[in-house]
Amino acid sequence: MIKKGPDTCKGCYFRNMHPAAALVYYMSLFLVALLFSHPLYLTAILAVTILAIISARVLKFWKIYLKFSLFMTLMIVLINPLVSRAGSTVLWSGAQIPLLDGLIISLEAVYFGLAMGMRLLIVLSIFCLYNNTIHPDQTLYLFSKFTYKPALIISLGTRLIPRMKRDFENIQDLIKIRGFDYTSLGFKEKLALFRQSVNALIYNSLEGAWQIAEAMHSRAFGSGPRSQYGRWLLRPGDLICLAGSCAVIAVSFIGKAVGAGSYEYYPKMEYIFGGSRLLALILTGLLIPVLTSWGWDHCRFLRSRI
Amino acid sequence: MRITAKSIVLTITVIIIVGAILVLSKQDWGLLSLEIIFIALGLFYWICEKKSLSVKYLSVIAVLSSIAAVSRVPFAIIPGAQPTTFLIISTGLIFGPQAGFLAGSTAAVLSNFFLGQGPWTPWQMFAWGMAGSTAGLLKIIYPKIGLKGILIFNLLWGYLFGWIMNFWSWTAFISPLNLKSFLAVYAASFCFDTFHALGNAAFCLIFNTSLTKILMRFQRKLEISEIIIE
Repeated sequence: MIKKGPDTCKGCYFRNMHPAAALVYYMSLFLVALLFSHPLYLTAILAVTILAIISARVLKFWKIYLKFSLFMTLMIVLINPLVSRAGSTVLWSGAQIPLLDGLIISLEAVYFGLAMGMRLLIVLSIFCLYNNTIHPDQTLYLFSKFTYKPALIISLGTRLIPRMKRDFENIQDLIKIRGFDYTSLGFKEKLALFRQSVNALIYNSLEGAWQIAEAMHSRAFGSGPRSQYGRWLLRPGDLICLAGSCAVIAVSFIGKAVGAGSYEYYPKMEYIFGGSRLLALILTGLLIPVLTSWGWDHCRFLRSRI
Repeated sequence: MRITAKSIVLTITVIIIVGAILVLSKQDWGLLSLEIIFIALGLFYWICEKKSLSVKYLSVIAVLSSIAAVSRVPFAIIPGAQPTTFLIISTGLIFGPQAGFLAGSTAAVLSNFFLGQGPWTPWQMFAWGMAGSTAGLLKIIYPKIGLKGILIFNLLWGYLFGWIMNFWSWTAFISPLNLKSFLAVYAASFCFDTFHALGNAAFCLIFNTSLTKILMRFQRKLEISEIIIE
């Protein structure tokens, strides 16, 4: 039975994947969603993404993303029919709106808007998966191999945030101890006191930066080539997923270059079920992690092998 | 930083290969614009990686970017208004374009650890990075820029930030890509951008004088004591 709570996805396959394999998988989903505007492709990718979300046990978090994306999706669904005049099946026309010189709403533009809304939903769902299955430490571990100075700044910054929160609370306590009461002050005084607290926090934090740098230097940081170790093993399951995702990326780019999977919404929508051979290839690659996850959850033998 | 012939050849080769792939693959502008942003961020980071930067410089940037990131979280409920842009611009003005870029791009990643990473993250990294680096360039061009100049620059970046962020929505989700659709997308975010610009101006008026003094002090300290790392 799936454990409820914030760590529901802790034991799932997606959480146990090598970060590189998971990241390349999410990237392949993202690229396919942005490469093709074919409604059948977008529907299939959305279905795979939802399957991955269910496998990763982050459905609860996805619902929050759905609520959050509602405004953006609505904006895209509405703007497209308003600005496009290319559709041939006119549903409504007439109103004069500034900048839009005679409003024409066509069925094709409505469908295009819906397809783009679906694309946005896919993109946000992929990020929901990413945020809930890959820990920031894992991403930093990957990027530190290529750009270690920016990765170092990010990890130092992450470490400093809770310290800053604590320091700011201490400053507020000090202000109270000194006899200042926010509730009895006017707006100007409150603002001045707040500015002083913020300045004290910035000053204190920058002084702390000096101490951090000296502590790092005293531990021989920067004295030579740095050592690095990774806690994450690249297992057979990761290799299969990685190969599948790379194949999907390659096939999608080649397919797009030769014109497979292309779809025209304007002036009249094309036949929706065309170019499905490429889609079958893409789906095979994208479903590998979902199937591996099923094996991880339901088959002990497979779990021991992947 | 030593720019060798090898690194120049490598950069040009990468640009040609990536360019060829992008042109040959007949992509839409949505993906293309994102790829251009990634290449731009990658090049900036590559330059930073190749430079000898002191540990103190790195930790000061880390502190400033975390302050900028933290300041975004309590203001997340007010659409647009946030002190992050102002703090990044101040960093760029005092510590230079490179520090401004690093602080801006890092603040975007750090704040999104709390608010959620999304397709907006690389665009925010780019937009705030550019806010920081252009502030640094502004200081180089006009070394004696006063409060009025900084205020206008902050106001301007309130809108520019929103416009950069809108660019992807426009290219990836809207068709046709013409002036009409461009204006419609930008009109939809005008209110938020105005809040952002006004917020920047307000934070600049309240904090600029005291923050500049603090940052100037640490910038001088940084010039005096440096621990260079390779």
